[in-house]
Amino acid sequence: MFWDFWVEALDEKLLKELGFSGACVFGEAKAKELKVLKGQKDFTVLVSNDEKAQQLAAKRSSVDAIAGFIEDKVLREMAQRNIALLVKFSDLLDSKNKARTFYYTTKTVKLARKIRTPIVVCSGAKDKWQLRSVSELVGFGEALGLTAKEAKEALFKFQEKVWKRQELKRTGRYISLGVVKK
Amino acid sequence: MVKPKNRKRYIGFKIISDKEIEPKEFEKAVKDSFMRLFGEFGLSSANPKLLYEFWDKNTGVLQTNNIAIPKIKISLALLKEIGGIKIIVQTLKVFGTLKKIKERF
Repeated sequence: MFWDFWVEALDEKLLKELGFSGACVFGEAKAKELKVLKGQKDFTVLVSNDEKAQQLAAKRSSVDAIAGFIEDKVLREMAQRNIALLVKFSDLLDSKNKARTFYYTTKTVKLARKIRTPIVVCSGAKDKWQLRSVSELVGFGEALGLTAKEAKEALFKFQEKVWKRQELKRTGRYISLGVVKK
Repeated sequence: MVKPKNRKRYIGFKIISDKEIEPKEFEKAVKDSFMRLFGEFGLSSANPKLLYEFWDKNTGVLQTNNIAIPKIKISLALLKEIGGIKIIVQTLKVFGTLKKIKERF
């Protein structure tokens, strides 16, 4: 079961053909609303390269994942609070300076791997032609410095945890992280 | 017996697009994409080749070596369009021998 956790244009038939069993559809929101959004939405991501914003979001655990170039200090906070590092393939696809983007993404992923921050790899597709198959995203993960096993896990491990948490919330059994009603 | 470090591998792939793609154009696009990302040295060590005998309606096989497989996968994923036709390349399977490809294709 693989999940694409950032899709802006949903094409269910094509997603199934590419090997995914589920996807998370992207919707934009203002930074002020983040704390409120985490309770309502399935998966909240902070997209920012600003270190202060990243640190604040990690400290307050107001998001599920952070996307961008992240320093080790913030990555450590994220690992403690089970916040994932989100890597979008579309960042590399749309980038004008691919070498630079690839370098910084690899650097961040290597640090996250060392600190054991959860990593989520997704396509970040803005239209259906930017969707990529499971094997391509696994290859992307491997090229970023992950092992084959870790690259596969980046497509389902954290995503399944989020999915289970949301299911518990829907049934009203979820209280807080690690605390569930019987 | 000591096995050589670079062993041949064959990547089976499928192109998702509205129209059919010419195999020569595709091979050129893959090499260009690989060259842009990994340079001439990377291209010479990976040496990707399209096997024309297995090309059939946007499905084909690329020959490379075991070390370059993730790099080839990235350069395939970075292909957006060929000759103005938008495409998605999906790798199907990595084969070790030509015999296995003949069984599948």
